[in-house]
Amino acid sequence: MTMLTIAKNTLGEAMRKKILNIFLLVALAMIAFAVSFASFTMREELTIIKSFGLGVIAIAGMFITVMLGVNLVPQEVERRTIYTILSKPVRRWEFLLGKFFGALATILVNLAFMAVVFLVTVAWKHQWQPEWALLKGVLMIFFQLFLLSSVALVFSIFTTPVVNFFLTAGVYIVGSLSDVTLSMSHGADKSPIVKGFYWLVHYLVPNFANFFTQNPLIHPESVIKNELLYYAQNIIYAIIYASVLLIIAILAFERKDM
Amino acid sequence: MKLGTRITLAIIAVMLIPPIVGLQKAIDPARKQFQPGRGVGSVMTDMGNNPVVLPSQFVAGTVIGLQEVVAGLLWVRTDEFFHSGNYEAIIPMVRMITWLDPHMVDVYSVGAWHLDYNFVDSGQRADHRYVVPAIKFLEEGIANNPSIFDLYFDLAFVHYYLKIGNFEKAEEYMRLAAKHNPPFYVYREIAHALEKQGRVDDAIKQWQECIKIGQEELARNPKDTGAVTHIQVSKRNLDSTLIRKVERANLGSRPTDMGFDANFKRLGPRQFLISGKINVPDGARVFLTLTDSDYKEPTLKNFSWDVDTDATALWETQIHGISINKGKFHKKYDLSKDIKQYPFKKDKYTLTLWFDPRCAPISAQDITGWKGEGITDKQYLDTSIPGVKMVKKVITLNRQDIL
Amino acid sequence: MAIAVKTEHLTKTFQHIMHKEPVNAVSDLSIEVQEGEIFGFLGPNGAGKTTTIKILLGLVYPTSGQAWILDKPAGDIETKRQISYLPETPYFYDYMSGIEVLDFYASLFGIDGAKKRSRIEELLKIVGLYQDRHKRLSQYSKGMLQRIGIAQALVNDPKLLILDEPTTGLDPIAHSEIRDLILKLRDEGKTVFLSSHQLSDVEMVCNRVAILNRGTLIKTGSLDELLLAGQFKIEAENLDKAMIEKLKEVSTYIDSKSNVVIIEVADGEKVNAVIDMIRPTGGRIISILPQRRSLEDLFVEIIREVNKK
Repeated sequence: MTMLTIAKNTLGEAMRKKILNIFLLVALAMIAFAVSFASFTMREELTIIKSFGLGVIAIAGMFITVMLGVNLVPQEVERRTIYTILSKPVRRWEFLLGKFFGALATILVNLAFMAVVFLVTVAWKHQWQPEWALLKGVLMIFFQLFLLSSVALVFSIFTTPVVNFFLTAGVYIVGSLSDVTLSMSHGADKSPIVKGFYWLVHYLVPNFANFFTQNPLIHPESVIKNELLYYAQNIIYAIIYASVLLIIAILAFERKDM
Repeated sequence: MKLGTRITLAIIAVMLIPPIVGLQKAIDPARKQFQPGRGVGSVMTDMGNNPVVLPSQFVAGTVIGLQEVVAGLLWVRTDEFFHSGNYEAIIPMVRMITWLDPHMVDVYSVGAWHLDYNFVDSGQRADHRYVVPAIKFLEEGIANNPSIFDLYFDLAFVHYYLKIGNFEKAEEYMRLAAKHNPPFYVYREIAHALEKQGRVDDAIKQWQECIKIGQEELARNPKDTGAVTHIQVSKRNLDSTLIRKVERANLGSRPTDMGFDANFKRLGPRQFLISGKINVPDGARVFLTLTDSDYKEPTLKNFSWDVDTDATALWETQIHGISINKGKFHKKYDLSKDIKQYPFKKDKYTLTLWFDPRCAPISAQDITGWKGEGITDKQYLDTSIPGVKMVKKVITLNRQDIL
Repeated sequence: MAIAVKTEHLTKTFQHIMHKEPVNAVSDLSIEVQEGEIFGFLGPNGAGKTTTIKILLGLVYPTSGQAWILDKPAGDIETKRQISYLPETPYFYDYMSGIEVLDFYASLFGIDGAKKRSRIEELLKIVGLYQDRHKRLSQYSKGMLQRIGIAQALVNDPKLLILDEPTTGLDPIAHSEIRDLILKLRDEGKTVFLSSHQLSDVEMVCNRVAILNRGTLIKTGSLDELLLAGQFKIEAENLDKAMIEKLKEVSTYIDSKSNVVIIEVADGEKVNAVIDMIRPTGGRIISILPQRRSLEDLFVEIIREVNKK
């Protein structure tokens, strides 16, 4: 119950943050702007709009998540609001999870805005046929950001927001290069140390690349095997990984001096 | 939070790590089909017989799932090169775009079309050296998009059928296209490709097959006007083919003398006149090639747009052939402005002039038959292709004859 | 009477990354606050007052020692239902209105529905913000924010209030209003733990005080004990020079510029000694006055003394 109160409060405040609003507005404008892309054929135009739209949603979502995540707890400490809250009958983990779910709700609302504009834009270029399948891409972006925000949350307990921004962004980039890390962790010509290092990176750094599923969305003619299984695996992956990170965050936050 | 609770949570966290690794191992192999454009090394080797490799320098730009955007925006920019006529710039762009998004089939078709149709000399003659790269490029596109009909048909029709005049290959790829839920015209083009090969009975069967496919579709979906049209066209073509089969049945017993001859006359440096005569109706064309005597079409394993810059290959077949007008033909060639395309660096050249009935229009084929059954010629009759009769004259030239 | 706040040998050491030496924010602090008291917690900036409060609230973990609040270990979640805290220069979500902020804090206590509404209304009236209840906090003045801070501290009708510098930066009227409010709370039987360096406030409202310097407890006791302890002023006439010299040995201060000599001594026994010395020599004692010092004087004196060492 207290968690819900804190989550609601976090959402309410985050939706009023100018910097996040600007990100959202720019993203919405960019998605809508995609209709002005001229190209050769109907199909190419749709390809670009869809690909661009999903890309903008992913990038804007990433920025919103990181900006939100790195400030989530430190800002409460800095403004000393955390003292009035934690001196009330609120457990630390309730506060932390309340903040986290509030951030998640914020991400969801932002994604929803972008998804609506995106779907309308695509439909507008496609004789008003809504392509609901695109929501699968947005859903996967949401779970990617879910994982990313838990990364930011863990770091925010140990570091300042500025350091955290670069740390989280760094983890995001490394986690998005999973093709590199995967291929570097195999191959006979590499030393065991190099392979071992990349193995650890590939399997233990949160793998954000998993969540990009644009191909079948942009090219609906692609034949995808076990699509549902892939989505399910990724969602479970995000939930399990985020759980580990949230446990670390809770344990660290529990013993932290405010 | 009690110490016991904290320890329990820590144990749970540690125990969740193996499932994370396990899930990642399950996800990795499936991921390629969701993100084909990204990857380093041999990521895409399993996509067909033409592995596509994205060099690592491209990876950074495609980290956050934007490779299709980058590809799309590059494609928009490529359009500007088309409008400004900067054709040279298009091929590297097309290469990059298809690396980033190997599913942009239109980029494959336009790129390939561009290679073998649009690299032309000042007389609008295409550079034959780019035909093989164009085919390889489409083969790569097919390997990356094996489940849709588009590129199979594009290779078959635009390139083998129209550009090259290889109707066997055209039929082969049309039949592959037909396996992937194609529009009706693909089935009809198979029949045309069979006729062009002179396989009249097979063509008749294919027209009947076309009608059957149309009727099946109509049974499923009575409102499909496309199926109605398809059936009408197929029936009409079936009738024509049946009539022609009867009309052309006995051409072999009363062959027409082609009276074919052709001459080369130098007019100046890299300028010459081709003239000759042949006894076929207007509308038919005489084909010409002027190449290094040792010229062979390159064999490429994978797509590459590097061509042999020392090779000369003037290639005038299909719609580029020399028109016949009242039994005669002549055409002036001025290659002096296109030294890059026709370097003439070798000593010996082979000029070949021929008439191929398989590529001839219907009016000519009514005299020659589909495969030249009705052809005879005192001097230049050529039967080197089994079952096909054509007329062909080969002239060997020295370098100084041209320069 | 029950004990509201108790600490035993409380020590908190901070190890800052940039400094090699660990810093003792609080060391070996033992205090007791009885229920119903207004307890003044004094000390210059950096004395460890806020750290101690944070330990009491469970926001900071002590390095050693223990702390109890209402007979439960500090940080106990159920105890927090009965206490409240007003931090120094508090900040609240400034996109909210006064009523929304109180609603938020009331929800944290699980107060709901009609009870919540009436409680919030009541509080807004107590702190005098009822008129401005729909204004956003970003439009509130500093004094108004302090009042909303007090309102949030009262939302659960606490038994114990921990107030950290509640009058900092307030105008004189608001200042005295808050002072009155604290006294009113005392009359309602609430315990107030008041951390402040506004010594005049403390002097006016507190029963007992503890003085802290550099993390160490210097002095603790009731105000009367502390301020009355020692210090008598004796006025006398007809003293010769030899006598004045002798008196200097027992007194803390002598003013012999005029006929009437002023002698200050530290305790009651010394008063007797001075009388015994003066009377046999024909000197006349005009008056003996017990000196109640101001808290300010005591504070400055103590801090100076400690810092000398």
